[in-house]
Amino acid sequence: MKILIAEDNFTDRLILKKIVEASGHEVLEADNGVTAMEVFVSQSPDLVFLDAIMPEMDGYQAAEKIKALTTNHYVPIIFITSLTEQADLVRCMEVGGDDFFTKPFNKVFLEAKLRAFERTNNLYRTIEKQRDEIQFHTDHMLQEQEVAKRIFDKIAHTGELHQPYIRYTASPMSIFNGDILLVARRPFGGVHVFLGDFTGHGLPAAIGAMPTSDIFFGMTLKGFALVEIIQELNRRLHAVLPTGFFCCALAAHIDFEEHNIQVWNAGLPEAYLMNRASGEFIELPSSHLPLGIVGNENLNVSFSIYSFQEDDRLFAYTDGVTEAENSEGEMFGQERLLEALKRGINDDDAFGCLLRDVDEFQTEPEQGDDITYIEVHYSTDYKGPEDEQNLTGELSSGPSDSRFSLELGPNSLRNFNPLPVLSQPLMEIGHLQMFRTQVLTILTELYSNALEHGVLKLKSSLKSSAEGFAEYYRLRQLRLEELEEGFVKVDVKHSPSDNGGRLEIQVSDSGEGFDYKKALKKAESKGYSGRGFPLLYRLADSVEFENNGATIKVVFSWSTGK
Amino acid sequence: MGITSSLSNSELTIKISGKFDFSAHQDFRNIYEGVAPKPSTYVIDMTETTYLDSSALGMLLLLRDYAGGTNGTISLRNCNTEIKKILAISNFEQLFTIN
Repeated sequence: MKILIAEDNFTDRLILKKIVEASGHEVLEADNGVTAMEVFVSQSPDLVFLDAIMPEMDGYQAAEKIKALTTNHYVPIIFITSLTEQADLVRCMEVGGDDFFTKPFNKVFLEAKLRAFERTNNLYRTIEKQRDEIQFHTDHMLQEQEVAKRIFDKIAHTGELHQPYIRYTASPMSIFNGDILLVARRPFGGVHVFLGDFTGHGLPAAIGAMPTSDIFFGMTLKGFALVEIIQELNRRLHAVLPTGFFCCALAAHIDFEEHNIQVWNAGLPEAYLMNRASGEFIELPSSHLPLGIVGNENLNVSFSIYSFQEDDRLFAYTDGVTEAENSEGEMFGQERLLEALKRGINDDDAFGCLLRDVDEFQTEPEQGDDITYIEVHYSTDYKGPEDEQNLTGELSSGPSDSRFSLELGPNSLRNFNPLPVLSQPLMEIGHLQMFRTQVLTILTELYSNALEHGVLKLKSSLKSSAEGFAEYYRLRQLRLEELEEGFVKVDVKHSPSDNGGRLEIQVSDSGEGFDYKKALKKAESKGYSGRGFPLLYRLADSVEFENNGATIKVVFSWSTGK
Repeated sequence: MGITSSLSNSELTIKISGKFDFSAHQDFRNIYEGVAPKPSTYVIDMTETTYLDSSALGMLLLLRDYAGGTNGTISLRNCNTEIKKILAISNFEQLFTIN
C-alpha cells in the first residue's frame, strides 16, 4: 500500500515510518494538515495516518476534506493520538476516521492493524472495480436500448394511428413494450387494425414485433385479405418464436363503405363494439389460440362480422389494463373497465374516462404489465389512402406492353385470393403504382362481383340490413365450400402511352349474368355513390357489359399528368 | 409460490401454490424433467393456485412440448374462476384438458 503519514512531531513520524516501511509499504510524509492535503491529492495514497493536533490545519479538518474527496473510493483514515478523552476519540470517528491508534506506538499491534486494513482495502478495490464495470455496461446497454427503442417505436406503434378516427395509448412498462399496435389502410378502402401482446417484455417481444409489423403492412399494401395476413403471421411467429412464447392478438378489418367490421380475437381480453346512440355494448371475446402456438394446419381464422355504423366504436386493449393493480394488490378488472366505458360513452369520451379511471386506480404506474388501448370510431370523412410512394424507375419501365390472364376453377376460388398476384405485375409498370388504389379497387370490385354474384349467386340486397351481413358472409363461406363447378377469368392488358398508359381489365364468370341496365339506372339515380358499379363508373374511363353482364370490361387510362 | 409433485402409476401430479408466474420457471421445469422414465400423463393441480400470468401459460406450453405435443396427456385440475377465465381467453382448452 501507499501510506501517507501526517504528523508534525518529527520523532513520532520517523518511528511510524520505520514500522510501516518494515511491513513492506511505501511511505509519504507531511508535517501539517495543509501539506497532507497536497500530498493526498497529488499522490492518491491507499491509507492515511493523521495526527489529530497539527499546525496550519488539524487532523479533524483534514479528515473531513479527505472523506469529501473520496465519496466514490474508500481510503481508510487512522488517527494518531495521545488523547485519552472519550469525547476526543469519538470526534475522530465522527469526522470520518476509520480507526485510531494511540501513542506510544506498539509495533506488533500496528502491523496487525495494517494487515487488517490491507484486507479491507483489497475488498473495496474489487467491489469498486466491479461497480465500475457494471456501470460501464449499464450505460452502454441503456444507450443501445434508447436507440433500439426509437427503431422499435417506428415498428410497433405505427401506420395510421394519427388519423382523427383513432385514439390510442401505449405505455411501455419496460423500454421495449411487449405490445404492438398497427393500423394500415387497405389500398381499396377501409382499414386493418392489429393489436398484439407478446409474452414477456424486452428483447424477445421486440424481435417478434419486427416480422409482425413487416408482414402486416406489406401484405395489406399488396391487397391481401386479413385472413391471409393472419395465416402468414401465425406461420412466421410459429417458426421464429421458441415454445412458450406467443402473441395474443386482435385483428380487425373495418369497412367504412360497407358499414361492417370483421373481428378475430385470439387471446386478448374481451373487446367491445359500442353503439353510442343505443348505449349497447357487443362483446368480442377471444375465441382462438394466440398466434405462434400451433401450426397453420390447426389455426382457426374464422371471423365474426358485425355491422359498423355511424357513432359505432371499436374498443380493444391488452390485459395490462384489466390487470393494473392498486396499492392493495387488487386488479382493475373487467367490471370497472366496462363501467368506465359506459359512464364515458354518454359524454362521447369512453376512452378518456377509462384512461383516467385506470390512472387513478393504479398506485404505481411503473408496475405491472404493458398497457395499450385503442378506440376506432366509425368515420364518414374517411378517405381512401393517399399513395405516398416514392416513385422509382422510368415512366414506362416494367411490363408496360403486356397481357396476361388468369382463370380460376372451383378449388382455386375456394382457397386462393388472386388480387395480390394480379396487381403485382401491374405495380411493376412505371409510375402506375401512383394509381395503386384505383387499380386495386377496380380489380377487387370486378373480382368480388364475379365470384359472389356470378359464381356463388349471392344477392347483394342481403347486405342492406345489419343481420343480413352476417348471413351474406355465412352463405358465401358455405357456397364456396360446396362449390363444384364454375370459374372466374381475368384478362389484363396494358399498353403504354406518352405520359402513362391504358389498362384494360376484363372479368368473366360462369354465372348467368344479371340485369345490369337496372343496376346502372339505380346507380345513376343515386349519383354514383357507394360501392360496386357506381364506384367502377367513378374510377374507370369506360365500363362495358357483355354476355348479359357475365363479362365486364373496364378501361382505365392513366398519365402522370392526371 | 411453492411447487410440489407426486408420482403414482406413471402419472405425475404437479401442485402449484400461490401465484404461478415466471419465478416458478426453473422449479417447474426441474420437476418434470427430473422424472425418469417419462410419465404417461401429467396433472397440474391448481387447487392452491391464485393466479397465472402469460409466462405460466408459456411454461404449460413447454410442458406440452416435452410431453409429446399433441400426443401428450396433460390435464389442468381444480382451477379457480379467475384462472379458468385466463385459460379461456387464451383458448387453452384446445391444448389441455381442463377440469
